[in-house]
Amino acid sequence: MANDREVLRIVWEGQVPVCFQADPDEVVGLQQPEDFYLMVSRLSYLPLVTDKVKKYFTKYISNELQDGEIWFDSNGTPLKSHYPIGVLYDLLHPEDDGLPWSITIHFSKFPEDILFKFSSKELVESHFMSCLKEADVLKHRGQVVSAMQKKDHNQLWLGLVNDKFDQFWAVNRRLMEPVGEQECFKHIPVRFYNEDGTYMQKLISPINEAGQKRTLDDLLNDLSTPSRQAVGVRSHGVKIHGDTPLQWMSEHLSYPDNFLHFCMIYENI
Amino acid sequence: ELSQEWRLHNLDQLKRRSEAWKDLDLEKYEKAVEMSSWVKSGEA
Repeated sequence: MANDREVLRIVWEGQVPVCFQADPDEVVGLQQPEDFYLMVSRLSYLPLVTDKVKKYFTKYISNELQDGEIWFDSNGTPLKSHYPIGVLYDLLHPEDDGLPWSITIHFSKFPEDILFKFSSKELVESHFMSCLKEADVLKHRGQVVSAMQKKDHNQLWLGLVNDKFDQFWAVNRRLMEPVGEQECFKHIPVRFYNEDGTYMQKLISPINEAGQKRTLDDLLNDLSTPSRQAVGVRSHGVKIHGDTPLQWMSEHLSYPDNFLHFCMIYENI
Repeated sequence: ELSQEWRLHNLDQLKRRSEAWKDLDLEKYEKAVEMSSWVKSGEA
């Protein structure tokens, strides 16, 4: 079970300093607005932390654009609002360089061919709960999340939105315990991200056929091909040690949606 | 488990993340979520 509170706490406290800028083509008047600096949680989502940013830049945008669907890009790459912020940052900064993270806010020309419209908090909440339920299906055949009450679901979501560690983990710990006499989950919920921001999922067992706990290195071996070797993963801004057991990672390094999000590091052979 | 090398490595790496901020003027960064007392849990 997820009982290593020191690790849980430091993962929860992961932040990214961000410098938000206006789109010069959308600004009314001669003077560009000052940049807006914000410290954001790696575990959160852009629509949950950008109210202040939107309010600040709205003053500089023409009236007809102010009700537009906002979106963000980083150095020309549109940012997916339904990905956790830490995943977005790690995908674009594999060497943990380039702080603060420069993000441009847009009020027009939403790139519908690239991004889903996840700009409202309600849509992100719906996506978040969907991921959480999917993760529970993988771990416990969905038995834990379905036994929860609506208020438990609300507590998970509001714990994340309001940055309340204890509130979130009071409920989330139930999702992080194997059921019955089992030592491990049935499967490990994990998404493997490619450099282009797409991801894949596979059924990952936390134990091998002999019943021993599998490690990250075991998983990397499975993901390697004759032409391309998986040599590591980055998550939460760090490269994870290869001997780390998959079960421990799932319990301690999962994002609040209960998935591990791994940015893959490959080497061509 | 607490003294396993992999755990100590991961914990150390997580702790070191903020070292990348050492040259930043953190005073100009606003908090995205205010932790003031009026933030309610919303529990029914």
